[in-house]
Amino acid sequence: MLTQETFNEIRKIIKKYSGITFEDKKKYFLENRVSQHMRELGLTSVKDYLLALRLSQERVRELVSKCTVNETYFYREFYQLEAFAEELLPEIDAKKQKIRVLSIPCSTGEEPYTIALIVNEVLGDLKRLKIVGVDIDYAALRKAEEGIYDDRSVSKLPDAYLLKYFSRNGRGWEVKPLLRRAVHFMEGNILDRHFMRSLGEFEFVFCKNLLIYFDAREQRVAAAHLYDVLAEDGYLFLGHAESMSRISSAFKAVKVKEAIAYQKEEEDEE
Amino acid sequence: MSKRELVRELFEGSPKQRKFAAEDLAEYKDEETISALFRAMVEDKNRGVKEVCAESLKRIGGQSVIKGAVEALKAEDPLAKALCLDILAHFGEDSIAHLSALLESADYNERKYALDVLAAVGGGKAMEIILAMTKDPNPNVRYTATEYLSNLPKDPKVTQTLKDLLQDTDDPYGISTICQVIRSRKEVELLPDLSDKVRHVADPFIKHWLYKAIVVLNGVDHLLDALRNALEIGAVEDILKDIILAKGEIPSEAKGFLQEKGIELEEQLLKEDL
Amino acid sequence: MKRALVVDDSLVVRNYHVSLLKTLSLEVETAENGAQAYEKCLQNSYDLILCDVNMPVMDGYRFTKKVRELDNYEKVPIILVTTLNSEQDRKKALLAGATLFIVKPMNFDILKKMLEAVL
Repeated sequence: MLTQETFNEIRKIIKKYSGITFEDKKKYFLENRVSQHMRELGLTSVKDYLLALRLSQERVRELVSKCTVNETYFYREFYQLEAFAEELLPEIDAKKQKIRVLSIPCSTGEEPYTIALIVNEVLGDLKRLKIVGVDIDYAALRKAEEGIYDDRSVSKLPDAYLLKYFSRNGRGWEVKPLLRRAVHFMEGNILDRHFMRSLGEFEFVFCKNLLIYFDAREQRVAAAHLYDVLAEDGYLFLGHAESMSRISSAFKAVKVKEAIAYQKEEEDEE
Repeated sequence: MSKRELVRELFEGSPKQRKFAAEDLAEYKDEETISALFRAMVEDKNRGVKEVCAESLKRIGGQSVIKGAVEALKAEDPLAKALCLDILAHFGEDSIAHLSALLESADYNERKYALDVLAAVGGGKAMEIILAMTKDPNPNVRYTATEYLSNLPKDPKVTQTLKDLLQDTDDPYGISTICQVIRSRKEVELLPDLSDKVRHVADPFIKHWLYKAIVVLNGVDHLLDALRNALEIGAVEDILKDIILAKGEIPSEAKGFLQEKGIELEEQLLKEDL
Repeated sequence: MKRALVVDDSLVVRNYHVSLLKTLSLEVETAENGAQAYEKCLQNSYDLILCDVNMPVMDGYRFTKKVRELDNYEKVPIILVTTLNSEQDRKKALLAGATLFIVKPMNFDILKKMLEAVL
């Protein structure tokens, strides 16, 4: 449906807007999203569609939203959450007044809400907690703000937590206000340095399965920004198959229970 | 903040301030800024700051940055060196002209750095130089140049160079390097040279590498010889993977041989490993 | 079966060392640089580490220093592969905590004897 030339053109636009790189083998995937978008816009010619993309950032934003993968659910990658809950959270709790957590990308909100839940369970309350969830996908963020999830999303949560933190209504499982209040959602791009600087610092940063979407250059930029938002003794978690070892030497890996987390590398001695 | 203030922050601020200053200085493209960024990249003790200096220098671009990177390669600090190479590679062919000092250096490490940049840059100009360096007096430089032949486009000059190298090399490390390059480039023309060499070599470990290349290039006649040799050094699984790579499966004659020798194999597991 | 870790940023060199170590009946894993190797050491245990010195992100000296600080890595044989044959580099390697160092291009038989000696 898309010629190689058009495909290249579109992925250039997407990359410019979001930093995401689309490999050749994802052409089919992109074509699907483009046809869907064209249908919604009532366009039948690819040429008109390209024009629409070039003329309006809003259209690009919509396309990007369709392309980001939102496969997520509560309690994902449990071994990391375990390390967080059992070792790191108590460690930071003893040292700091405020516990700030950044979840980027936060997608439809499962991750930040999960973290809020865990903090409440471990520390007993959320008074000192502030969680920020960031994503470039505004549609996902809207869902996150709504906080209503289907059975599949919550399938990994222990029943006791489900009953304690969610209320069941006609549309699904709704996050209770206790958790909702602890999370603040924002639209933004990890590659945007002004935006990232405006976020301040966090004791914990969760950046799962985002770096893999970038090429080497963008990965380094993203890593530099993650460094900026991480507090001096803070901890960074990446996705299970991801590693900083190819990207930046400014972090050091530490083992926490079964998980690997990253902290800022100390300055070199002479 | 003005440029002057940024430069001051770059050297006197907290790590965070130095890092932000390094990032923001990318907007300026003058000599003073470039010089300051290089100095910080080499001297700062914070790795985050150093990395950001390199990124900013890449964004600034231009001849001064390239020259600066060649100069800064002399730094002791390994991270600074690595960042310089990265900057040079980033500028592609434009960097090549500035590499002559390194290429002619008496210090073989500097010649090697030049090679690293050339390999990252690629292209015709780089190719000529890399080919020439396969004859460098220092073995480290030679082997590195040979390795970098892998990334060059198909070209009769490359094939000829590999042919010559194959003939002149006898140590295991050199042979292994050459064979891996021949394999990855699929230099089928060199099949007769490989077959010839394997007949004249005694060491089974060296033979193994030659067979690995032969098998992948589809030298049908040598399958059993390759297996027999591999058996001698305990590398059967390794050669089987190459056979599967070349043929998609283990041919019956090979299976027969293995059965004969009492070797059980999990074909499926080997396939998964690939 | 004993397990080895080969660390080098060159695929060609990694393949060579893997092949060599396998002839000594070792199970072998690889890493591209010191940082990746360090992460692997956090998760697994190895009976031998063969590590290049010049690598991006984290070089061999730094890796050796760091890995020696881990509980179960105080005595694991670490062989650093350097390109220089100077007294200074020998010192540097040993100060970092390396068990041995070998200069490349290495003599195959010497390397083999070295490996057999430490395992």
